[in-house]
Amino acid sequence: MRDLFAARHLAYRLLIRNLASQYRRSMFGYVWAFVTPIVATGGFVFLNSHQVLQIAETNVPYEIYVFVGILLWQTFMDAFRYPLEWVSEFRLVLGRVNFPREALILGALGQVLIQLGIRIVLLVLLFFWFRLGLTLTIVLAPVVLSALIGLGLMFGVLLVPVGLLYGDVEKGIHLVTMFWFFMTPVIYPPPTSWPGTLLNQVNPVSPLLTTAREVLVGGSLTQLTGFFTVVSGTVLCLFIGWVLFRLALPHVVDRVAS
Amino acid sequence: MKHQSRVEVRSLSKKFCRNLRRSLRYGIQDITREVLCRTQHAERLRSEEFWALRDVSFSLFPGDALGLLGRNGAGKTTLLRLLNGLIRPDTGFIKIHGRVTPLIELGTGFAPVLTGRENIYINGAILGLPGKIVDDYIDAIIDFAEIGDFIDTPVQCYSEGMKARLGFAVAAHLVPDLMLVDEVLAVGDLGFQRKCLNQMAMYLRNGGALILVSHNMHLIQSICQRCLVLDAGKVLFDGTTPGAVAVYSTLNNHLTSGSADNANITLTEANPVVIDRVDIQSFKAADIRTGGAMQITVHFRSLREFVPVTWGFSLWTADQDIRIATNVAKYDGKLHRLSGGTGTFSCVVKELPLIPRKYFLKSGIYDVETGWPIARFGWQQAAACFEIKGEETETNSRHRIDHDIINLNVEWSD
Repeated sequence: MRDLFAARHLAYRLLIRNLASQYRRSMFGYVWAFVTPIVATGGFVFLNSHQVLQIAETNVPYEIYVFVGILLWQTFMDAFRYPLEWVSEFRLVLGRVNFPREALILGALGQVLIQLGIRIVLLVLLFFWFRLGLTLTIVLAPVVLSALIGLGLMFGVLLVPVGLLYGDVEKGIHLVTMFWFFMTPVIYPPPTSWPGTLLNQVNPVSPLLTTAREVLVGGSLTQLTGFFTVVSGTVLCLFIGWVLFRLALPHVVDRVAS
Repeated sequence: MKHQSRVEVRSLSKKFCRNLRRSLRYGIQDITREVLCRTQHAERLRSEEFWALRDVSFSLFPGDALGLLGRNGAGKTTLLRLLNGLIRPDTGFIKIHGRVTPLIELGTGFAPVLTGRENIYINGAILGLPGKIVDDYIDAIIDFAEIGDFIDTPVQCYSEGMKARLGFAVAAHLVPDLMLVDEVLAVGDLGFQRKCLNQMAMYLRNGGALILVSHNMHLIQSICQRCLVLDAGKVLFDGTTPGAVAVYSTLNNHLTSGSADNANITLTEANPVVIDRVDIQSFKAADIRTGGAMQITVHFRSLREFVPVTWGFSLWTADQDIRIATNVAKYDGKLHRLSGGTGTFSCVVKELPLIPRKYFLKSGIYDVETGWPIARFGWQQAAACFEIKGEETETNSRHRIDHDIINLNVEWSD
């Protein structure tokens, strides 16, 4: 715990380093953070309006529905991918300097939050555009968003040791995320009939993402049981992942960072 | 505090695996074992594993500088990485009192598109220096690095030397209890190297401890009082720096084995003269001593007659880094001839000013007109080795500690 605290300052510096390096090298800079969800939303809205996709009625305009879905999914994905990306990026430094390794995870978390912040700005604009009112449930937003980020971070941190050793993991992630995206109610409402409902039970992202969306756009919270089950599992596994990360890193550095 | 050791290392061992795939698999096994709290079979080597470091012990006190010598792959860097806590030992333990700062491949953490100034903050943070302290030191760091206007230029435009300067400048402003320096000064220019040396000396005077890896014998000798010589992971020698340098020199076998014999080289038109061996003996005394005399005899073979020729020799320190003296007969007005077949040249060196220790001698036979060598001894093969003997007097041990080479004959006035 003390290490985590000590790592804050370093995490902040590394976060600034990564963001600055990323955007200084690109011409459009922070525009990229806005463009991706807009383009994705546009695509699905187009497909839906031309009835290419068979998507059930949603309680808010589909544009908003899908945008919030993609926003939440991307936030989850960021939390899932960044820990390994960060540790990989600093692989060489890991082999030279003994700094608190938690800083990398904290930095990754920081980057997730910043991206989320940018997307929320976009979301607020969208709410104005469609003249949507906010519901009272919005106060729960920080809770549900943290749960979603926590879940992503848990998977991410668990993957770091193996992912550093074997390049297969990074390659596999791309494949898995695409499949996972379609298996999660991001662009469609959660299925209500069997076997579709199986998705809600097997896929841990499903109850979190659904609940988060319900909180953000208003509506009754339909998957609270699933939500709390997944959250308690996440807390436990995140702790295990963290311990594993600390134990495993010297072994991994030993083998990949010389 | 003064007498508490900074570093305590006991029977340290570390194994590595030659095969990458297998190494990764062992990695997974080790992690699983550790998670399940199973005992590791630390003492046993698994297939394709080898000891990168075996049974290393030493301790270091405030103000101590320890040099690590050894050929490539001897385990020097592994030892530093173990001390730095980057990797875990398989057996043995390391106890370090205080903070460790590594100076290993300076500038690895630099973000190429960010400026030098930004990277100072990042590098400082990685090394554990809070931003406020960097604020205080930033001017001193930029000054020390002597990078000038480039400080606001992206680091990717820097030369390797400039990156090293910047990296060293940041690290130099940390005040660690133990500094690990791995061959980082090699890229800096002479002025900067000198600056770093002064910085290290000051750090040592203030009670810091330092471990230095370098192939530069001057650097090692000017900083470290004590050295470990590592060979294939084992400690071959642990003692004074001159002793270590001598042992290290013998490791580079083909240059210093001392008993080179060229008798099996055949003479050809392209290689018409060969110096078979060089004998060095004391002259009219039991040993070669400081102030005494020694006789040098060069045994050669020649294919045909060469007239006129001259011959000479040069004296080298044990690391063969410093040429102490060169004497050629021609400059003392003596010319020689080679008349075909075997023969010898010899000379006596009087009043040797050399401090008691080992030295090397190289020799050559030269064409008088062009000065080109006809035959050389000690360059491609081992040079002849000899030792100046001497008692452990105060003067001699003083000379040894100060790494002196010669003793001047001085008459002090009242």
